[in-house]
Amino acid sequence: MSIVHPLRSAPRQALDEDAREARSVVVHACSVQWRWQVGLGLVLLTVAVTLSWWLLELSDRVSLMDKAFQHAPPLPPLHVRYFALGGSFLCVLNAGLLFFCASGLRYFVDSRLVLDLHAAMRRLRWLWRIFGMSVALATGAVAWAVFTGGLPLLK
Amino acid sequence: MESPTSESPFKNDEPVSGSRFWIYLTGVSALVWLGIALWHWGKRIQNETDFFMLATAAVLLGMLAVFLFQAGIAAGQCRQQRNFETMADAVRPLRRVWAILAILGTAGGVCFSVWALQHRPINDYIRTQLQLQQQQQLKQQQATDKNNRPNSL
Repeated sequence: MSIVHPLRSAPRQALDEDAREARSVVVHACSVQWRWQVGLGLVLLTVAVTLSWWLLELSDRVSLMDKAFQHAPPLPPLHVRYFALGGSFLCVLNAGLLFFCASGLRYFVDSRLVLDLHAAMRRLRWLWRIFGMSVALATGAVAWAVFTGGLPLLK
Repeated sequence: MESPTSESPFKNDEPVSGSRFWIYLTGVSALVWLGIALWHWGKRIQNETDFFMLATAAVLLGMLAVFLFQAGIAAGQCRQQRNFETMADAVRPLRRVWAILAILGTAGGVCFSVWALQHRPINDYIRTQLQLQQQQQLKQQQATDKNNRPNSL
């Protein structure tokens, strides 16, 4: 039997297993999970706004201090703006993926079909891929700021 | 009975185990964050509030790392077993991971916003000082010009 899955455009071969209902334990786990994902997505959107505002303030401060004390800042203001842009982009990208994944899980919670869990898990895999890379990048940036003296800028 | 996945045209259609590496990577990142927090902020503890905040952050980050490694192990088992029940079991530990990530994100976001707002007026202070300095220089310049002007009387 070939069906068109509502979460995807391409038809896939439905297995007997896919047509059955998932255990309530799994449905409950996914039901809790999509709520936390939406919550984290909203937090990331707030962080994107706060981070970009604060880093723009910081770049303004660097320019002012450069003007006031006539010495080259440890990090050029333009680089601080690049950090703001990159950080905000990562936050918004992850928030979007979290909402995308949460919608897939929610669809599965409503239908309870194993087929929908497969599709939701595929979205989850993409989320983990991007989220893992973003967290590693953020960790690298923080480690760089702490260990190479970028942090005095933040005081 | 043959396994459903062995007949499937999507033999590698087993998404949870594909996330294993990224889950472990996030776990290692959480451990690095924990190390930086303990090493960097630990040296700057000034009062009980600082200690309480650092302890809370350390506990949350430690729990996150443990949950992430548990989820990674579950995803690894999923790769070996390749059936729906194991995949469903691998989904369950992720619930705690997303919960603690949301809590950590909220706590971190609130702390960061408060800290950023507290540090904002420095820019206004520098700007005011610069304006005062410029006004002073202008007054000095005008006074010098006045003294150097030839007396017409």
